[in-house]
Amino acid sequence: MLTLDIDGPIARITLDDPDRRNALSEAMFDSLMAALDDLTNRDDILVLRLDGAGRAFCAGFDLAAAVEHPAIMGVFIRRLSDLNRSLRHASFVVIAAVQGAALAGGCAMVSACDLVVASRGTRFGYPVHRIGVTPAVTIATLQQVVGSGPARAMLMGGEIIDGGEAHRLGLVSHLVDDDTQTGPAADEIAERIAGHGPRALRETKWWLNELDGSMDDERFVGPALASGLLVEGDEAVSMLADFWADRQRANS
Amino acid sequence: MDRRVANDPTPGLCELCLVAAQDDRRMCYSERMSDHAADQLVRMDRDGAVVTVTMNRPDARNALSPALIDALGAAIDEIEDDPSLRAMILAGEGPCFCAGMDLKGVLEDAEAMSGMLHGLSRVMRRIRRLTIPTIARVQKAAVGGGCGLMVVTDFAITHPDSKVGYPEVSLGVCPAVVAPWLIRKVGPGRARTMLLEGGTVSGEEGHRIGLATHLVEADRLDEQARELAENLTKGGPIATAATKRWLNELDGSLEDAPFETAAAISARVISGDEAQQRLQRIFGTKAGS
Repeated sequence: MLTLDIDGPIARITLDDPDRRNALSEAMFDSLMAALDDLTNRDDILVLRLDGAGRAFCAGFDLAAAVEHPAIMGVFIRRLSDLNRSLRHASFVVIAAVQGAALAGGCAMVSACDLVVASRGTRFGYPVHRIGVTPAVTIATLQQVVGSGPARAMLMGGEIIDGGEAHRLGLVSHLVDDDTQTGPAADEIAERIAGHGPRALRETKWWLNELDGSMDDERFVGPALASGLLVEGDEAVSMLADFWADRQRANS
Repeated sequence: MDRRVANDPTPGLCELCLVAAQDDRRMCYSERMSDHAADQLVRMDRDGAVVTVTMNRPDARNALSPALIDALGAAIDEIEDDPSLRAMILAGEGPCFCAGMDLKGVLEDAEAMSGMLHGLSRVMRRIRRLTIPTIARVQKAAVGGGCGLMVVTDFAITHPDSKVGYPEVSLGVCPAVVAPWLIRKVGPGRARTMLLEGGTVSGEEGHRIGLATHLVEADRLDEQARELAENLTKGGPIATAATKRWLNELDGSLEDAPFETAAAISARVISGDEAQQRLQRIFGTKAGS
């Protein structure tokens, strides 16, 4: 599901399920959380560089599984909330190198990273209203990153934006011209940060978390619980089934 | 409120002033204004309702020493007491606006270091809470604490190729004091990027993310600052003060606890081995070069 490499103070996680555009499946969540736990238990990691193999960074939840077992959507949402909290609370700096697209749950994950590198053509957004799901799980971090006004528009409209617009809004911190530059740019930033004072970095990240409400668990738990309850309702179940049927027809 | 008088032997602050200051700081200050313009750590120039407060340690790139921080505090005292003033420009003499904290002078004295960080934290709050609008006029560089002054003011003007930012983490120093102000200025996401990545960005990028409110060519900096200040003086002073007060209320600028905590965090980190070793290495190299 993913590869984890550690090179001195820099850890690299690559989501590696390209055929499903690195969808957040049960197995993907298991692997990600296990890798993060490993890294959190070490005291020598200063930077985590996160990317995805294939055409897209991450296309969101594993919808095939959710169509089969609607209850699993609520599990996904709670696990994503935990994942985002772990990324925020990690003592190391998290850099996402986003190629292709980060959509829905994938975009939520990006919103929890400290730095985000992407190209102008990369696609971001939360197109989940079509499946009767609320993207509320990302609010805790998205609101901090782009501000309340733009967060409202992104979450209510479900519009897909490109990397240039995401950079203008602040979701992307470092913009490059095309996807081939994303990885090298992220490497360069990771190496630079790895040279900073470890204690200074950890204290700074902790203080930023204190100041912007990232240490407030309620911000993560509340929206996840609320949206987790919704996904088992009739609206979500039938909309997801319809969406999936349309998609199967379109692909056949 | 701490209104200690500058009493360290920083070159540029004359002994006469120090002695006089023990008795009457304001008298001392006006004396400095008239008699020792070139020697003052902070110069105040009035032009109608606009006052320009100029940090005056050009040889040290206006590095914020305890004495300079105190002198800024004294300048704020004067502005607070003078209802005829309607706008303030904060400037730095010489090629650079401000190179940040003068760490070298207090490196081995944890108490002095802590005092300086708390002093800077207080002066920043006082600048924020002035009832008149404030403008930072930033040429060439605003670094660390200097960039802190740039984000605590209401407006900041710079030019496209200036350097602004917070290289603290590379020195093993935690930019905790500036963090709450940077968050208010550019939002928590961009503040996160800047403080964790360290280094500086161009004035142009600083303007793009909202660190600077105005961007002009370097040779128009002074003119633009005066034009903006002049324009600000035309507002109703009561309405302007009320607007600023309400903005300060809404964004938590009137609280003290987070800013005191920030200074304590910075002081704790800077007195640790990591920061001490990195700073010694840098200052050692510089001294030897």
